[in-house]
Amino acid sequence: MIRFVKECRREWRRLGVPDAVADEMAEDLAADLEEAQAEGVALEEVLGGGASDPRSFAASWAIARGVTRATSGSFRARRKPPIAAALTVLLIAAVFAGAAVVIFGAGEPSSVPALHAPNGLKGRAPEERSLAPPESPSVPGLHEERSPAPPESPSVPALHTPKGLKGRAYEERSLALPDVITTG
Amino acid sequence: MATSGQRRTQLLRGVLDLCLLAVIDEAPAYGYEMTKRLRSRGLSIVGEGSIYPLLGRLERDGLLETYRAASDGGPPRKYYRTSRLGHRALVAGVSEWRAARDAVDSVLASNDAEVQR
Repeated sequence: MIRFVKECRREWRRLGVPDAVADEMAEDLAADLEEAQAEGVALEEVLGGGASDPRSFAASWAIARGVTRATSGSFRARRKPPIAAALTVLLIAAVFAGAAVVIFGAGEPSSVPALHAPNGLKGRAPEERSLAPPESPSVPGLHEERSPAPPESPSVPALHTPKGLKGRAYEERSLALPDVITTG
Repeated sequence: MATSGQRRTQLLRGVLDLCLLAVIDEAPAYGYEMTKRLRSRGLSIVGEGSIYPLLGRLERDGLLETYRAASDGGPPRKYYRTSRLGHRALVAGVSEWRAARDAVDSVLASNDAEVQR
């Protein structure tokens, strides 16, 4: 019976049961088994099916009590920081990425249309971009002048015209640009 | 069809926690003492799971409270007693058991005459 308790103790140590808890369980079990032995009661009568498998018995008891390393609160607490740190890093990365999109995206407003330009127009697009009227509110007069000018206005719509019309659309836009510039 | 031993094991497994609560509710007890109380009423746990994991679970669930006290002529033992929650669980469990038992009895009653014949 003492051997049984020793094997349980070894299993609890392996499972990371705190020493104080394991000592208490071992003491209680040893006292029960000694009393049973003194009364001539078999181990099976006290431990049921667990009598033949001390490791399994010890593990099931520790798990039921919630004192193994995998179930104890202290172990969970030790595992939390790395997870929290990983989430924090991800959050910071997301914030920086969002900030970068806002900053660089706002700094080059015309670069976005240029990316959508058809292949054949890529070479000329920068010229148009430099001449294109800024759509930002920093040029108030521009809005006043542009609003009455119907089809020639913004350069962006022309970039989305169907393939067959791309050449014409670009010409129209190019012709419209000087008007826009003079109004500014 | 389960053998007689298998059925007994399955039946006991379903109500052993209730039986433990019942014997502890009568008076606080330490582990081996509970085994003796169960045995004195014809409930041997030979071949069944041990009561220790069950006690651990009941304690963790707040149905049992523990304290250490000297036993008769032996070393100090860990005594278990039912908490208020444990007592309520016992009352509810007994009610469930009786309902299940009555239902099974009524189903099996039709075979009584057959068995006696």
